Amino acid sequence: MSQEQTVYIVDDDPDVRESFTILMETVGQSFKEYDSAQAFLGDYHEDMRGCLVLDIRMPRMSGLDLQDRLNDEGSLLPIIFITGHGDITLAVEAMRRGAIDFIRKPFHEQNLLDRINEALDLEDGKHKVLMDKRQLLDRFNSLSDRELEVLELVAQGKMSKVVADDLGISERTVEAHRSHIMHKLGIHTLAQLVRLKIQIETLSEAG
Amino acid sequence: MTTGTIVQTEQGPRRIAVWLAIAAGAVMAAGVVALWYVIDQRAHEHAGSSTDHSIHMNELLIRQDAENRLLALDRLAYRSMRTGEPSQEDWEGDATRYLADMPGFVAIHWIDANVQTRWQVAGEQGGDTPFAVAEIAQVRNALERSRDSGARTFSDLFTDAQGNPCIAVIVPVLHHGDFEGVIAGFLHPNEWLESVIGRLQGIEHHVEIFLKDRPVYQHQVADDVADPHQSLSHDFSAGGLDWTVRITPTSSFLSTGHADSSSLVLIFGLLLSALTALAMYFAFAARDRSHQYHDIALQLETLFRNLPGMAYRRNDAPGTPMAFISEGCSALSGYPRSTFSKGDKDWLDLVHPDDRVRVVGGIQNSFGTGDAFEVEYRIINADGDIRWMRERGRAVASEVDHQTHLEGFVTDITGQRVAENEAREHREHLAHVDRLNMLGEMASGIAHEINQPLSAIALLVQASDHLVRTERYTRLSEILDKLSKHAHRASLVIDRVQKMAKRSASSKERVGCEELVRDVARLAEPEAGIRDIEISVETQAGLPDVSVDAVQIQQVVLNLLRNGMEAMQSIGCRNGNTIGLQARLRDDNTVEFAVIDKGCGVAKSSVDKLFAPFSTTKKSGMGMGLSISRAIVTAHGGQLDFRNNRDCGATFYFVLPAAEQREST
Repeated sequence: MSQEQTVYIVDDDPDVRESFTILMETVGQSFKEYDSAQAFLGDYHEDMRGCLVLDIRMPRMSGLDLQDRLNDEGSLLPIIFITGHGDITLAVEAMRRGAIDFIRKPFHEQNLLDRINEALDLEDGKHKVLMDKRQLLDRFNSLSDRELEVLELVAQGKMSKVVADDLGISERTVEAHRSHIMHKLGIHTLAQLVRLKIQIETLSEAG
Repeated sequence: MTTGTIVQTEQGPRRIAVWLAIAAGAVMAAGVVALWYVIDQRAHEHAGSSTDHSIHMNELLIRQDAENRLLALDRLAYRSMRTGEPSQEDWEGDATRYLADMPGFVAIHWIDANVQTRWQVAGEQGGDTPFAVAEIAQVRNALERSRDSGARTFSDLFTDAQGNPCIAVIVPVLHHGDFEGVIAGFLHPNEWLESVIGRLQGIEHHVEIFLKDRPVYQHQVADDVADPHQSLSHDFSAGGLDWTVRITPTSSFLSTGHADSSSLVLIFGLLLSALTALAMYFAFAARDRSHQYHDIALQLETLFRNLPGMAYRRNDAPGTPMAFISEGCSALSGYPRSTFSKGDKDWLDLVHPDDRVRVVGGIQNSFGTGDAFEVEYRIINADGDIRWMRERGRAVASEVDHQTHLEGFVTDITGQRVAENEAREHREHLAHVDRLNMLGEMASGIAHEINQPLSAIALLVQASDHLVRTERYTRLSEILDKLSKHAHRASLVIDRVQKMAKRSASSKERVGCEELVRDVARLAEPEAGIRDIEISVETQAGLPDVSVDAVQIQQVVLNLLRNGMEAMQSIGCRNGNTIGLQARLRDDNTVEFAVIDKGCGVAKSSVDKLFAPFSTTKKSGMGMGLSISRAIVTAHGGQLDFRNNRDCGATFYFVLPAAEQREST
């Protein structure tokens, strides 16, 4: 694991932030607090690990605005919204935009820590998947153009000879390319290759 | 006001009195002058007749004596003739006797027909030089006249050797009808006349006697200057001579005769006229004044009867019996006027026991200082009901008895009080509704404000729970401190909201302006936060306290703040997102509270309706806020208004009078 998970807390109320601080210190959770959405944005980078606890109502830039910005940036940080008494509409909207949870002030449910932990687990899982995909893509991207052409035709189930004919190269050369592809992608069977190809296609479609 | 008209009506009668008095004086003076004129005429007549009388007496005496002299010398002539040739001795004896008996004669001569003195005698006054008869033309003429006519005659006036005026009395001596000569008696007219008429003269007249216009006798009264205009002359002929008697009354005679008495009469008369006029004037004026006083009394009586209240007067400080109490007292109290005028009850006895000390104290204080007083209090009337009275009055220094009186006027303000109370209750009710409405609109903000400390509490509770479970107690006391702090913060919010929500009769108390403003700002801040607006509070240092119902004034400020914020938000805060809340002291010892927004300002079209109830430019809201706010400020003796700012937005402000200085500070 490259980075420790951090709980990022954005709330304009100093008392609430202070109490968060005490709670996080008590449970030994790494955390960082911000008094405004802007302050957080100033710090933000895409490698941030952990989760975001975000007050939905804040002056100048609200929690929802921040969420929008992060979505635009492709952030993977799960967001737990803190909502007030009459903010159900806002909370629903936040969920629709991909927030993982919202908890209502003044935190009647004693499970804030659980929620945070869930979010952290979720992020951890997401992060792992992302890391795998990134690895896969990295490998895929290391293929040469010719190797990519060969991969495409092989994945269609064409025999090496047919591929050689299609590409106007010798069958041996096709065999050599296949061997290189298998090696670069770290697979051994044709079935693995086909599955990988589908995975990559879905990945590139997703973005 | 009433004295003004009374003074005006006084002018007419007084002028009439003046004219009447002048007329009476003039009539009197005319009478006096007429009387004086009559007296003066009488006096003149008297003086004239007296002078006349005197003239004729003088004439008579002169005539008689002249005749006597002629007869006397005639006798001497006759004797000379009868004896034929009388001895010179006898003749001289006779003549000497005449000379002595008849004053004025200075010499007597026997003169023959040749105008030669044969015999003569001379008196002492005749002087040493005997008359040279032949040389005196006047004597010669007389002698010739006497010889020719045989008559007794006087010579014309001549001057003798001594230079004295002299005349001669010529009597012919006839013997058997033949003229033999004459007896001539030489007279000094002055002495003669003195002996004849001297006795007659008094101090009343100056007398002058002329013979053929030559003065021969003069009687001058000493120490008196004759006034020639008053003179009377009379000519007559006696003994063949032309006489003139001129008589001038002396001025003392004239004055005793008429001048003194009549001028005295005149002076006294005129004085009397003036006095009469004066007396008439005062009499008329007094009559008019008494008429006026009567009229004024009538007017005052009507006025007092129709007054919507009661006027009274005490001869001294409160507590002393009322010297006067107007009819209105029975309408106010239900007790007849006699109750008070007889002293059975004093007005102050009716005052509600709870008010009495305050009322008596207030009046007493004014009585001491001489300032006017105004007190409002309750009385218990004859039916046992409570009525509200307003009494105004002051201590008045009387010019009549130099004492200080207390004069006052009492009106029934029960109706007014009831209406005021109703209006106040109505206003308070509306204000309360407005507050509730406002709190409703602010609910989410308020909830947020309460949620903050509650959230902090929840977090801290979870932290302590964790600490307890893991048996780490070191930080617990710190956390408990914070818990208490946050609980307090939440309760403060609830307190503020509760105060605003409560409906209570307005009660004024001393409040510091800064505290007032800060409290409101805190109440408005959560909403401001939601609207993304910042409230900037500025209070001048050393502001005086104000005496207000804090909740109501905060409601006003809150109303203005929320209006301002809404105006700013309606234009997306494009002019800035700071709303100002200021309190400052003005020159007239009032405190101005101002809310300065950066909104769209007040459009001219909505200025008129701005403070009217149920008029609103907002999407939500009853449109009561500003009208209630203005009513609240007005009820506090202040005023609420607005002005558009020069750059952008509007400033709504209100002023409140500063509370009186605390005595201790």
